[in-house]
Order: sequence, then C-alpha cells, then structure tokens
Amino acid sequence: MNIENLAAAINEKMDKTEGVLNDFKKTHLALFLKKGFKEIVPDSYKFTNMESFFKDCSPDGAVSKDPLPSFETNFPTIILNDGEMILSEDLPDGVTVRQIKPHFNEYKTLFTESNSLSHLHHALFNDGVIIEIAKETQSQTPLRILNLISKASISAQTNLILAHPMSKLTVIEETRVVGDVSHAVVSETYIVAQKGAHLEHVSVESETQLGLNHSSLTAQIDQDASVSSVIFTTSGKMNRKNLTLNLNAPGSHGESYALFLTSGSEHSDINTEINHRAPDSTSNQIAKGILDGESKGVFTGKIHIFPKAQRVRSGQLNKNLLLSKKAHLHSQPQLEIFADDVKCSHGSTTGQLSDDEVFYFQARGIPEDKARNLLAMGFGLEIVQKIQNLKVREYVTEIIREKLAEKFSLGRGL
Amino acid sequence: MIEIKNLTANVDGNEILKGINLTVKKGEVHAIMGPNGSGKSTLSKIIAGHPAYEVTGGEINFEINGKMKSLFELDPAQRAKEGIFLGFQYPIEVPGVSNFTFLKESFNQICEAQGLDKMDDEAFLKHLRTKLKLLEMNESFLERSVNEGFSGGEKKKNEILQMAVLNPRLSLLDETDSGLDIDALKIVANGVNALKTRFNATILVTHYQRLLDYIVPDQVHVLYKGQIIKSGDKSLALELEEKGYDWLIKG
Repeated sequence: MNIENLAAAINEKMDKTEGVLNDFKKTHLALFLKKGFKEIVPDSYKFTNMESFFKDCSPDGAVSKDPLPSFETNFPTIILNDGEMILSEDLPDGVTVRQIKPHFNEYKTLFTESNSLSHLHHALFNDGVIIEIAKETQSQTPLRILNLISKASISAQTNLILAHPMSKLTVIEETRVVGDVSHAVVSETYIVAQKGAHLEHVSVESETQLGLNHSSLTAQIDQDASVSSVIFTTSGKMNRKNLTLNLNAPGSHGESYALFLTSGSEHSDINTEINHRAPDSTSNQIAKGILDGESKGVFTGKIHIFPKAQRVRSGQLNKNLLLSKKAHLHSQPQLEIFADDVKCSHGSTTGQLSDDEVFYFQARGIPEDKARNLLAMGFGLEIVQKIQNLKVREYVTEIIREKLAEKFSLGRGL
Repeated sequence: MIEIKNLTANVDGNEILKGINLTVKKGEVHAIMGPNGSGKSTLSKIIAGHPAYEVTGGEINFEINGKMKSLFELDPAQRAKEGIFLGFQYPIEVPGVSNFTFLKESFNQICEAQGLDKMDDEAFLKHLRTKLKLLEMNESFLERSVNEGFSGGEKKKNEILQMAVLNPRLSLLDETDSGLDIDALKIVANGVNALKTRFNATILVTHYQRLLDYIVPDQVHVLYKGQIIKSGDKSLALELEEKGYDWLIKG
C-alpha cells in the first residue's frame, strides 16, 4: 500500500468522536501524507528503508482465528489485545494503570515526533496504558505489559510510564503475535522519571516471520533519577528499535542494553540516542548482535553531550558475533561532544569468537564445538544479566535461552 | 611423566623454540625462568595445544595409562582430559558464562573422560566449597561471569581454583605470580602446595625468584632464545636473583 492509500484508509477508519485526540490524529495524518516516511534526523534510516516494508500492510485486516496463548507468569500482567486493555489485576502496591485515550489532553505535550514513523503512529494513535508509580513507591514486584497482536493490521499502541519522585519499578513490555498474521507494530512508549525515581524498562517480543516491528522508547530523566532500558529483538522479518534517553538534570543516569538475534533474511536495526543535556549526568551502553544466515543488523549509537554538560561520564560498547559469512552488520557509533570536561569511551567489534576464548575452554577439557556453543550463548546472555529485577531476569533468561536454541542451536546438548 | 625432545616451534613464521629438551617426573616441581621473550610462555602453550603455535620438529610424550604417548595426536580438550592443566598468564574474561557453569562443565567433561560419574549441581557445589576455602575465595565468585571484572589477583586465584577442581596430573603455571600482591601470592602458593602429591607434577613458568620462596622447585631451568641454557637445583634461582641473566648469556 502506498502512502496515499494508507492515509486514505486511516482517514476512513478514524473515530470522529474523539475530540482533541481526533484533531491531533488529523494533523498528523496530514503531515504523514505530506512528508511520508521522511527522516526527522538525517540518515537515521540509511540502512533501513521503512517504506518498502509497508507495501503489504493495511490498517485493517484479517483477525487470527488462533486461540490466545496462555499468559501465566508469576508477576502482575496487563494484557492489551490490539491496544485494548482486557486484563489488569494484582497490581504492585502504589502502581495505578489507566487507559490512555480518556486522558489524552492531559499528557498530549509528551507525544513528540522523534522518528520517521512518528506521524504515522500519531495519526493512528491506538490506545495503551498510563502506568503511574506513586511517590516513594519502591516496588520489587515487576509489572508486565503483554501486547497481543492478533489482527493483520498496523498496531500503533501508545504507553506512558510516569515515575513520581523516589519511586522504583521494573516494567517488562512483551509483544506476542497470535497466529500467522502479517502485521506491523508502530508503538511508542514514553517514560518520565521524576527526581530520584528509578525505572527499568525491558522489552521482549515473540513474532512471526511476517512481522514488522517499529518500536520507540523516549525517556525524560530528572535529577538523580535513572532509566535503564533493556531491549531484546529476537524475531520478525523486520525490526527497528528507537531509544532516546534525555538526561535533563544533574545526577541523572541512563543505561541502554540491547541484544538482537537474527537469522535467515531478518533485518534488525537498533538506533539509540543518549542526550546529556545537563552536567554531572552519566550513561552506560552495551549493544550486541548475533547474526546468522543472510541476516542484516544495524547499530547506531549517538551520544550527544550538550555545551554546558560538564563532568559527564558516558561509555558505549557495541559487539557483534557473526555466525555466517553472509550475515552483514553496520555499526555506527556517533559521539557528538560539545563540552570539554567529559569522559566518554566507545568501542565496536564485529567478528567471530576469538581463538583465545575457544582455547581457554578447550584447555579445561571442553571440546571445541561445545566451547563455541557455550561462548556464543554467553555472548547473548550477558545482556540478560543486565536486567536488575531478578524475577524479570529469570523470566527473560528462559525466553532468550529458547531463542538461542531455536535460531542458532545454541545451548543444545550441553 | 612428560618428555620433551628437541622441540622446535614457530609462531607467525618466527622460530621461538629452538630445540627444547626437558623431562619431568611424577612428584616433581620444575621452574622455568628466563628473560622476556625467551619462549617460556610459548613452551607451556604448546604443551597445552594452543593452535597459534606451529610445531616444526621434535616430540612431546606424555604418560597416559602407563605408556608414553605423543601429545601431538591430541587436541587441547583431549590433553586437558588426560590431566594436563595450563594456568593462564592472562585468563580470558567471558561475560555471560557464570564461573559455576564453566567449572561444572569442565569438571564433568573430565569426569566423563576418566570414566567417573558426573555430579549434579548440589553435589558439585559441595565439592567446590572445600576448594574455595583452600583459596580463601568467597562463594559469590561462582555466580559471577568467568573472570569478568576480576582483579589481577582474583583471576589468578580463579585459575588455581580451576586447577584444584580438575585435579590435573601435570600443571603448567604460566606466570601465575605476576600481578599478585604478597598475601595473594601466599594463598596461591599454599593452594599449589596443598594440591601436590607423589603422583602429579608442576611446571612453573616465572620471571622472579619470589614465587620459589613459597613453592620449592626440584629443578630450575633457564630458557634463553628458545633453548634451555642451564639447569640446576633451587640454588640456581637464588643465583639468578643475585646476578641476573647476563652471566649465563655471556658465558
């Protein structure tokens, strides 16, 4: 579907009774029609052409007849079925959850445009949730948002997480596709971490080969607050993850961890931007990819240190493991430093396991094939270990172990 | 236990070992000393089977089930299973693989090779605790990724922990003393001494005599430019400490 047809279809489906939200949607639909998938940041989609991936997409398509999967975990879950909240129970103390649409007016200034699909997302603006963590709530219990995609359509879910001062919570956002539907996810999540708040956001997904997933996370981080984002991209034909961490006040801290696993002809693009807007802010980043088959990976990591942001410390590391000769990777560290008293490090490696690593394992009696297997598995699991909440870490460990086995036969026979 | 005859070897086309002869018997401790670049580390890596080194001549025979066999027929993992242990000068950091997983996998591989039963997690943890105690190591080391973020001393202790767990017949300790403060050196040396029996042997590769105050060698060899230029008893190490290597090289 081209942009005109896509826009016409969105227009036809639009709910005209939504008042302010409807105006917002209409404005962005007009902008989408005018600008298409134009990049807001130049070259940020250099290796990932969004337009081509929307060829087979329509905003309204067939619904999967497959039954919904079981959602059991041992922590509270909010289930959203194509953006509609169907379950929310046993929330952690001090945490409230509301649908976003009725409160759109209150928060509309937060919904900014940061990427080439923002206008499309805003034109669709499907419902999602506002998660609020009350002041001084320190929750050890995590909260899971489970996004179920059961329609062959474009799902433009919107979530907002508001962490009030001195609060703490881990949110895991999990996307699951029900049945073999050709779908597109264009979701946006916004985080506001107020003074002294600590928010951990983990995203995982389980999709089919038909899937397109374009998810963006934008965080505003206040004084002495921190946001840690852990992203796992493990499936889907085409994946693009955007992360923007805005360190807005002294003492703010951001962490970004990402792992993608691609095989076959999959394409995965991780694009991060860490903006040090204030002095004495710190950040740390590790992005990793394991690539097999003829798959393609892209990592772009921009660290922007603004002119008055002195004494910033920032570290970035990108490591990629190629399991096949035909896999392809683009790594683009981008450091833009406009302050002089800062410590900033970055490194990028792409290749196979080193002979020294393999030899170390062999010298302990572990045969070469097993050594490679264990090392590659460890390569991926390092990112899982960055999850601070132990319940979530345990849960995600199982998911990633399964994916490593399924995609690369890693961990089998150990 | 091990006989090295006229061993020559290259790395990247450069001849590093130029005819090494060395025999180590059960129950013995040998120290190999020598200036930087003399080939000490190369020798220990070749015995363990590192693929970066090309053996161009000579033999290394190792006693397996009472018979001398050529090590060149065995890959590094098979050598480890037959009881050869290399303590690395620079232990590799392996993020994502816990020390416990690594030790257990390694231990079970060796048990399997020697026809012993594998241990489950619980039994293995019990076995490990006694070894941790020997090296004055905290149990939290087991949960951490292999060597990741370890200090120099912790890495070396971790090597000796692996040695204690695997109970090798021949231990090659490559510069195990480098990067250790005196307390850590004592702990490591005590560990090595405690593991010594009539049936196993140790080859220590070292720069300094200091380690030999704590682990007393039966023989000391000086390696220079790929050859053993002098062998003697422990007094040779003291003489080297006093006079340096120059008198040997010039003579």
